[in-house]
Amino acid sequence: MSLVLNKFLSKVNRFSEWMEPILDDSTIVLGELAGKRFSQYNEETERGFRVKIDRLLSEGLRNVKIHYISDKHHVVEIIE
Amino acid sequence: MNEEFRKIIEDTKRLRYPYNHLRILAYIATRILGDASEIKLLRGMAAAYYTNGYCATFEVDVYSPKLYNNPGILQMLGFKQHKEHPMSPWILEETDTVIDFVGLDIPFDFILVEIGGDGVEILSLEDALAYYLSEIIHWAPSKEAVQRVNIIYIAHQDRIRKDTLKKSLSKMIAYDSLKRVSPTKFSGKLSSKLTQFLEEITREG
Repeated sequence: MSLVLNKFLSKVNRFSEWMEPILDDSTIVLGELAGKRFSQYNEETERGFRVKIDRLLSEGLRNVKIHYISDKHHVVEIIE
Repeated sequence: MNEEFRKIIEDTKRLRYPYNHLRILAYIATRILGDASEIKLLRGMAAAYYTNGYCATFEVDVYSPKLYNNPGILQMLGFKQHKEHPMSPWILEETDTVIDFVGLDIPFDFILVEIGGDGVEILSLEDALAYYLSEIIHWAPSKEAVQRVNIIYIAHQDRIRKDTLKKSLSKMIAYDSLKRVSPTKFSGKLSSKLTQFLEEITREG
C-alpha cells in the first residue's frame, strides 16, 4: 500500500515540478500583455490616467481570450 | 432613467471589461454626485483596471457615503438592490454592474481616472499592490492574491515607485514584516523580480 502511495506521491511531485515553470510563464505573459494593453488604452495625467475611450469604442466590443500560452511565451488572442 | 444616462449605457455596452463599469461609475460620480472624488473604487476593481481585466472581479467595491446615503439616486438610474444576497448589492442589469458599498479602514491613496469626459477615483497603483501583498503577509497566501500581485507588478514595474510602495506597505502594517522576513517565506510563488524589488525596498529602508 505504502509503495503505491509513494509512487503516486513521486508522480505528483514530478508533475508539480513540470507544471511550475509553465504556470510562471503564463503569469509573465499575462503581466506583460496587461502592461502593453494598459499603455494602449490609458494616458498618464497629472492626477492619474485618462482612458482613451475613442480607441476602445473604435475597436468595438472584443472578448479577448488567452487561447494558448506556450512555453515560448507565444500568445494568441481570439477575437469573438 | 434619463436620456443622457441611457446614451451612456449604450456606449458602455461597446466597452470591454473593466472600462464598461468605470464609464458608468464615472458618470454617476461626476454628473450626478458632482465630483470624481465622490466615488472611490477599491480592491478587486483596482486590480482589474491595472491588469486590463485579466484579474476580474464580479462586484465593484465602492466607497461613497453620498451615494450610500441616497439610494434614490441608484433607483432613479435603474439599479435594483438585491437584499437576498449577503452584501445586498445594487445591480444595473443592462451592463451587469454590481455595486457593493464598503467602508475605508485604511487611509488609502486614490488617483483620478478620466473616461469619456467624466472621472472616478481608483486605489493608487502602489496601494493596490500593497493591499494584496499585505493580504499575503497577514493571512494565508490565496492563489488569487498571488496572481494579482504578480500580474500588477509585471505590468507596471517601470511605473511603481519604491518610496511610494514603501509608504503603502507601512500603511498596511506589512513593511516591518517584510523587513524581518524574506518575501519568499510568505509565498514561494511570487515573481522573482517582485521578490527582488521588495528586498531592495526593505534593504534601503
